[in-house]
Amino acid sequence: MTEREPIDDVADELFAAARRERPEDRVRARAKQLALSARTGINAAEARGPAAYAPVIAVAVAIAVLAFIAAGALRTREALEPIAVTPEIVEHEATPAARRTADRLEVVQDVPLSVEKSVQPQSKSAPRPQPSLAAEIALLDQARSALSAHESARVIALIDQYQRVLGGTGMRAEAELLRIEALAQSGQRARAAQLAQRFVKEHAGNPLAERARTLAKIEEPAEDSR
Amino acid sequence: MIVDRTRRHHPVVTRALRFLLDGVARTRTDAADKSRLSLVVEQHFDFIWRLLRRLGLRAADADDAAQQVFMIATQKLDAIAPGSERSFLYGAAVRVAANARRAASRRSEDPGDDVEHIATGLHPEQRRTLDEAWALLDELLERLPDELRRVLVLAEIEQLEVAEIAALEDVPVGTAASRLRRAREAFREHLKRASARNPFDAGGA
Repeated sequence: MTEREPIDDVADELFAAARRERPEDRVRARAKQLALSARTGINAAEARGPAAYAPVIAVAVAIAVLAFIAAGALRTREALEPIAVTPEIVEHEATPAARRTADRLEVVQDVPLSVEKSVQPQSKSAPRPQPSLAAEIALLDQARSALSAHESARVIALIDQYQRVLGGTGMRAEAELLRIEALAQSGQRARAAQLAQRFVKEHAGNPLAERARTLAKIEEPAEDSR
Repeated sequence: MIVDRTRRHHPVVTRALRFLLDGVARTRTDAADKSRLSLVVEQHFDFIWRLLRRLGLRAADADDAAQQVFMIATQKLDAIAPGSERSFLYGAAVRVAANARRAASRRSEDPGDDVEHIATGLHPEQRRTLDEAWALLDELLERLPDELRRVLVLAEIEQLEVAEIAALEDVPVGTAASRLRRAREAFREHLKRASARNPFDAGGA
């Protein structure tokens, strides 16, 4: 502060003595405690009614949402489990890329699909797992990997699973083509050619039809034709 | 799977989400209010308590009055602009002190005879000296008009600048300066008279 001329020495002593006086710590602490409690009461009163419990409800809902997500993840995992496939087929996890893609995608509607006559009918009592584009991508990704590894039996099992469990929607054509390629790879060329011809007929406008056309021209194995 | 932010949700979902988000926001507001209130008490409690004492309240009454001032601030917290907490508390303290003094006068109590101050770590002789100094100071301040008493307390005890005093009193700086000058002259006169009446007490404080 700006220096002021003192009133006189005695006055200065009196003012200095006044500056030494202060409240007891417990008085200050009690005032603070009362103020904080009162403020909590005011804020709760402003919230009015059930809205006062909103923070508690928000936590409960967050827990419920997490539980729901965990249950959903478990269900998707179950959907990807192998179902009655040959013993040598071993189920693999989806690749990380497919999982990442799956995490960004929405659930799509279940559209029944019957491409293969060999598809087993679904039990009415067992509810079909909710198909998702994420699960389709994951499963077809596995099938493609298996095809690259020349595991044609596994490819066919995975495509069967795709059609039986997930129903297959947007990627149905790709799944069919994978089956045809797996059949051709496994030596069942006549069957592959037959399915490829049907594919070309059913998916004339599909960009995959060109590849199917090539497969449709496959002849019987060289050793058979000789 | 994520929630599509662009999708229009069912009204019930929208209402539930709003309800929950309001709840979270309210919790955060409550925490912010408490944090601000804590700071206000820590920064200004002693100032307000001393002010109440020099406005003529006994120590015990100053305890209650200071608590009352901060309860008023608690209730009006939303209306107090950040940075203007001291002004608000000062205005409330002046009103609370006036009411307390009126109540005390109705009870025919002598506001100056209370010596229940804190004096931790003081020798009994030092405490006695302080008690006497506070009693004499209060006696002298009691003779000043309220507006002069307040500016003198703010200037000489709280050591505020004239501009700060003007802001707290909500008067022009010139008015505050003029009041302070008159307050100092009046205080000097009263002190002289007290010394003449009882030179030992006034000089020994």
